[in-house]
Amino acid sequence: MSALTDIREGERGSAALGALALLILVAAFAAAAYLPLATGVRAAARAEGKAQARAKALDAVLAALPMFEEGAADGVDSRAELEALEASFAGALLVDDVSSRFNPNLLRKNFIEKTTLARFLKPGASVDALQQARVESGLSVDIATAYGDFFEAESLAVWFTPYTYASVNTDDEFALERLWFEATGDSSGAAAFREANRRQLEALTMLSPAEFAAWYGVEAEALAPFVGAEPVLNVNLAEMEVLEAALAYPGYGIESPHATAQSLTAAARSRALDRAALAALAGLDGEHPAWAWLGTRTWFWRIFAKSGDAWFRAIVRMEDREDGTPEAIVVEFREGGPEDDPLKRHD
Amino acid sequence: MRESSSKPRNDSGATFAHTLVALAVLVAMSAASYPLASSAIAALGKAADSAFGASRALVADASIRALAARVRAPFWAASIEPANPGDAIEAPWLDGEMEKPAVIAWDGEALRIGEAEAAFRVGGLEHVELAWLEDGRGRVLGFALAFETGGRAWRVEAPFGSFPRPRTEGTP
Repeated sequence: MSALTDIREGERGSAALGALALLILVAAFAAAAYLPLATGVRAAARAEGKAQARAKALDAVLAALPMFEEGAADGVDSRAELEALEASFAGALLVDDVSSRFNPNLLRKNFIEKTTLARFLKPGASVDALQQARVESGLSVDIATAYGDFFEAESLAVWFTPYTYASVNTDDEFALERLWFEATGDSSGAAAFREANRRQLEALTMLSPAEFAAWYGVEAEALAPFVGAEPVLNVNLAEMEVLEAALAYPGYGIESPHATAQSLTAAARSRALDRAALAALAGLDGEHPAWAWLGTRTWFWRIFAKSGDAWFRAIVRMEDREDGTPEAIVVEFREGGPEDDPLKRHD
Repeated sequence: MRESSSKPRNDSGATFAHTLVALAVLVAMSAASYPLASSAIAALGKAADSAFGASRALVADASIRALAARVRAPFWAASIEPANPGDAIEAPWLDGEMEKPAVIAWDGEALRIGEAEAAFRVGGLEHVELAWLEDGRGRVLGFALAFETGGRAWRVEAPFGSFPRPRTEGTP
């Protein structure tokens, strides 16, 4: 009896040992698989969360595009339309006009020298060197890096932008040639374009958007609106200081650019300014050269879309379809909020 | 003397029997639990393969997206032509520099993702297909890749950080 008990105890012991060994083996295998598995699952969840936030923000941006198109249909982008657009997204979307500023890629050197923009130049910075740098290094969307040697960083962030279409009425001939080359890769076409621009300068002619193709030809028309004759600044949304600088060019003969800019911005805060209202307020006749700068459309919008805790930043450009209706096109979309944007809002 | 010689014999017999019985029980237990353990280990192995596959896919996805986000053509530049990419796709304008290409290449063993000279390699992928993400209006908007790993098919659509202008008739 005692021998049988011993054997049973031995059996139990052996069986327990075997089961334990098996369990240890399985547990060890599971433990080895757990860590990478858990890390992978966590990373996948994070990536999934970020992808969902990004998709949600992009959906919000895409939902806003028809509103930009609708708002521009009457040829005026007003402050009230902008505020209504932001309100319809209940704070999840911040929108601002990012093209009603000066483009250091394109500005004529004498315009910088002879207007209030000269005060933004760094001590010792030369506009000739700026012109040369654009020809040699090319144009850039990253204006803080490309033009940091010429302008103070804070002024670049507030008063300048890389997001404008080029205008043959206001922009530097060498910068236009470089833009043409970068846009098409065609150096002889770029040189021919500069020649046509030089003839326009010599003739002291300001072209309307409708006259642009007749002067520059069908190839140039195909490159519109990237190169054209549209005014860059929307008086409804441009900052007073920007309008003042544009009006301060001595050749325009405007008596008090500061007062004119002030009255334009004050009026734009209370109502939408169309071309007729703008002409009356600024006292400009139809042929006045300041029309080269002053317009009522915004060509590039910057949108900050909030999704969860993350911000995303989009740049949208406007152009007109063949039937003349406005079209909004996303040209940039990436993570980033108002705080870390290189071009600051000036509120 | 008789007593002393028989006692150890009885002891050793009992120990041997115990060992045999214990071995037999262990073998029987192992045999009984083998299918369970075997399927548990197989399931774990399969789960681990699947998880490692997903992890590889995740690494490839994150690397491709990060590279695509660095491709930033200015809005005035013409879109690249969506030529048949074969085993490698190259997009200019990496970090906003026209002459700096972003490269994704498949050499049959690993996917190379990054700059031409400093590409990151992701192995363990099969049936890799490289293509362009297009908007149907003459613009290449990013990279589109399909591959298999961990027994599953994956597709990555990675948009660039910015989008160039469409190639239009009449412009070079």
